[in-house]
Amino acid sequence: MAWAAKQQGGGSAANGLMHLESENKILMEALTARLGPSQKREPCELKIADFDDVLYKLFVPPETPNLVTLHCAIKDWKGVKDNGGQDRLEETFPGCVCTAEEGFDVAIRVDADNIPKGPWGSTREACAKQMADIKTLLVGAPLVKAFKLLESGGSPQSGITTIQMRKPTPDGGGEMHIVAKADRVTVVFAVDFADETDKAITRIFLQEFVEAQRSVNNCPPANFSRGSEPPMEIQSFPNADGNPDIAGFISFTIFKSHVDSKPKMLQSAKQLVNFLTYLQYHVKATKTYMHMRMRSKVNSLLQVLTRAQQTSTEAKEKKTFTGKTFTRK
Amino acid sequence: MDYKPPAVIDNGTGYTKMGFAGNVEPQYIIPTTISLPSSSGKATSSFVDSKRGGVEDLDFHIGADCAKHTSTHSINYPIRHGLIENWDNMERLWQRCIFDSLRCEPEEHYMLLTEPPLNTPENREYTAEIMFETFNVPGLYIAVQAVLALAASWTKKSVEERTLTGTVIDSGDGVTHVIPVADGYVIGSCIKHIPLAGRDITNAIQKIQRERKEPIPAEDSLETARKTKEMHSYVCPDLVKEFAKYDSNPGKYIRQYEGIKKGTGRKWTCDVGYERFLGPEIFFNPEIFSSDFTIPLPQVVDDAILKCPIDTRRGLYNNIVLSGGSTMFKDFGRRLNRDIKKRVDARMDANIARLGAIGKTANAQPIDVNVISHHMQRYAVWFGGSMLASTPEFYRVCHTKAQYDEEGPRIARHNAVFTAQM
Repeated sequence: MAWAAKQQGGGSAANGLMHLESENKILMEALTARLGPSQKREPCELKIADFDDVLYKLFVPPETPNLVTLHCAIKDWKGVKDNGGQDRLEETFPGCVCTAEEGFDVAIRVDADNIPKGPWGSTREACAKQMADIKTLLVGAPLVKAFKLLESGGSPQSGITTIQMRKPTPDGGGEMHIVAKADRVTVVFAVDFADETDKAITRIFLQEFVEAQRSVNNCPPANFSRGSEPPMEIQSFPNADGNPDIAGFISFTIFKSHVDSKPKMLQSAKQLVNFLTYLQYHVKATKTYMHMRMRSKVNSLLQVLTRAQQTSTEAKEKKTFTGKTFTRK
Repeated sequence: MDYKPPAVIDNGTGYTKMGFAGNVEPQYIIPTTISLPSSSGKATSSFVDSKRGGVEDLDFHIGADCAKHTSTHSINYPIRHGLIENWDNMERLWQRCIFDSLRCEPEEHYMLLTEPPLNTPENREYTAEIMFETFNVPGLYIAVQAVLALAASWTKKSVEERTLTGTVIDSGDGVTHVIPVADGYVIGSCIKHIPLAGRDITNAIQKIQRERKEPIPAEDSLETARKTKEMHSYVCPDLVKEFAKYDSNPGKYIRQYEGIKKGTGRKWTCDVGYERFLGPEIFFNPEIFSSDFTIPLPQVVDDAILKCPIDTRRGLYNNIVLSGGSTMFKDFGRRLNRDIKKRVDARMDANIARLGAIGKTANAQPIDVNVISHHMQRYAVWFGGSMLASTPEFYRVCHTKAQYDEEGPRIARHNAVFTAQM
C-alpha cells in the first residue's frame, strides 16, 4: 500500500511516483513558451486552478506579447501576507509586483525581453519555474520566516500563526498552525475531508505515516492525534481547540538541523506546504487501489461460481439430422 | 459561483484532451496509454496477489511518460474503439490526469467527461461510480462527443441559429465517423464509419514520395510524410485541372521540404509535388489508394442522411460540422459542400423530371447544404465541452453528488438536457 514515509527536511524526494511536483505543470508549460524566443510567444488568457483553492490567470495581451502577467488567488492571502508573504514576493520578484485584478490577490508582471534577476537566477527557465511554483513561495513564506528565526537563534514572539490552507469542510479543518519556539518549530495541520470514507482512510493513513516516519533517519518527528485531542502545542490558544468531527491533527516538529542550510529550509517549507495535497492524492489513490481489489475479487468469485456449475456426466442419447441415434458420453 | 472552473476531460482512443472550462484549447493532450510494471501487467489477479507493503499501487505511468519506461513497464491502452475496456487502468489514468496534470482538487471542480455515440449505459454507470466514489466530484456530466462537436460550431453562428441538429464528420487518426444528430439525440442506426483517416493519408503520401524516389532518409520517411500532410496539403477542386496546373507551372506549386538527418546532422531537401493534393483526395476518390473501401466521403454522408427520419434531413444537410485533425485541410469543407450539393440537386432534379413524366408538377424547395468549418475544428469536442461547461446552464444539467448518494449510479443513465424519463 501507499503508506510509505515521506522524508522531511533534509531528506530528498526518494520516489517520484509518490510525490506530486509542487509547481503547476500547465503554468510551467505556458510560461516556458511565452518567456522564450519572441517568435514563439502567443497571446493568451489562461484561467486555471490548483490545489488548496488557488486560482491562476495568465494574461498576455496581443499588442504587447512580451509582457506576461500572472494573477494568483490564494485561499488565505491576508494571513500569508501579514506573515512574510508580501516581503517574500517582493524579494523574489523585485520590481515585478503589480496590482491584481478583481478576484485575485497577487499579480506579477514579467517582461520576457528583459527577464528580471531574482534569488533564483536570471534565466528564462528558472524564472518560469519560480513563477509556476508561486503558491509554494507565498504560502511557504510564514514557514520560511519561522525557520529563519530558528536557524539564526533569534527569540520568536510567543504565539501561533494560523494559515487557512484549504477550504474547511462542513466540520472545519484545513488550517496550518505554526508554533515557533526557541529550539523548534512545530507545524500542526488540522486535517479533514468531507467524505466519511475519506476521513476514515485519512486516520489510518496518518497513523501508518507516523509509524513509518519513525523508521526514517533524521526526519522531523511526526505525531498524529484524533480531532478530540489536539496536540499540546496548540491547546492553549483560542480557535485551535479540539474538534471531534475532523479527521485529526498531524504535527511535525522541525529542529534546527532540518533547516540549517538554505536549500534544506526551502525544501522543508515546500514539503510542508504541499503536505495536505500529498495526503489528498494518497487518500484517493488508496481508494482506487481498493476498487481494483474489489473488482478482482468479484471476478474471482464469479469464476468460483462458474466452476461450481453442475455439469452432468451421464451419457445422453442424441439424434443426428438423418435420424440416427447415438449416445454421447 | 462557489465552485471553481469545471474540468473537461475528453478521453479518446488515441489521445486524452484535458483542461479547464473557459479556455479555448485543452491544456494537456496526452496519449491515452498507461504503463504498468511488466510482471504485474499480465493479469489482474496476479497483481492483487503480489506482495504488499511497497508502493506498487502508484507504480505506473501515463501518456507520453510511458515511452520512457518501456524497459520495466508494459504499455496498455484502456480505451479501444472509443469505449473504455479496462476500468482498473482507466481509474488510474483519471487519477493521474486529475492530480498530476490538471492539479485540480476533485472535490471542488465539476467534471465534464465525454463518451462515444452508442456508449452503453453500464459504462456510464461505471464512470459515474468512479467519479463520485473515488474522487468525490461535486457534479458530473457525461456528454456525447458528436454533440459537443456540434456545439463547438456555434461560434460561427448567431444565437438563434444555435441548434443541436446536424451531421458531424469526425475524422481523427484511425477512423472517420459520420454521425447524424437530431436535437441532441444521436441517430444511432444511421452512423457510418469509414476506415480511412489521418494515418491513411500519411501512408498514401509516404508511398507517393517513395515511388518518386525522393532522397528522404529511410528513418525519416514517415515523419516527412506526416509533416508534408500537416504543412503543405490541401484539397483541390478538380484533380485533372490540378495536375495540369502543376505541369504548366511547377515552380509555383512544387514546394521544398528540408530535413536534418538524425545522427549525422546532414541537411537534405526533397520536393513536395502532387502529394500535396493527392493525400487528402483519399476522402473523395478512395479507389486511388484503397481497394477495400471505395465509397467517397460525400456519398457516405449523403447515404447516412438519407437513412435518417425524413423530417430531420433538411436540418442534417443544413448543418454538416467538421471535427478532428484530419478535416483541417484547406478547402476540405468547400469541396465536401460542393460534392454533396451536386448529389442532392441531381437527385431532386431527377425526381421532378420523373414526376413531370407522369404528368404531375412538384414545386420542391431546394435543399440547403452547408458544411461548416471553424477555427476550433481540431479539438472541436474538447472546445465544445469547455464552452458548455462555462455556461451557468451546465450546473443545472449535471448529476450532483447529492443525487448520486440518493439514487446511486443509475442517475448516469438519465440526461437532464433531454426530458426523457429514466
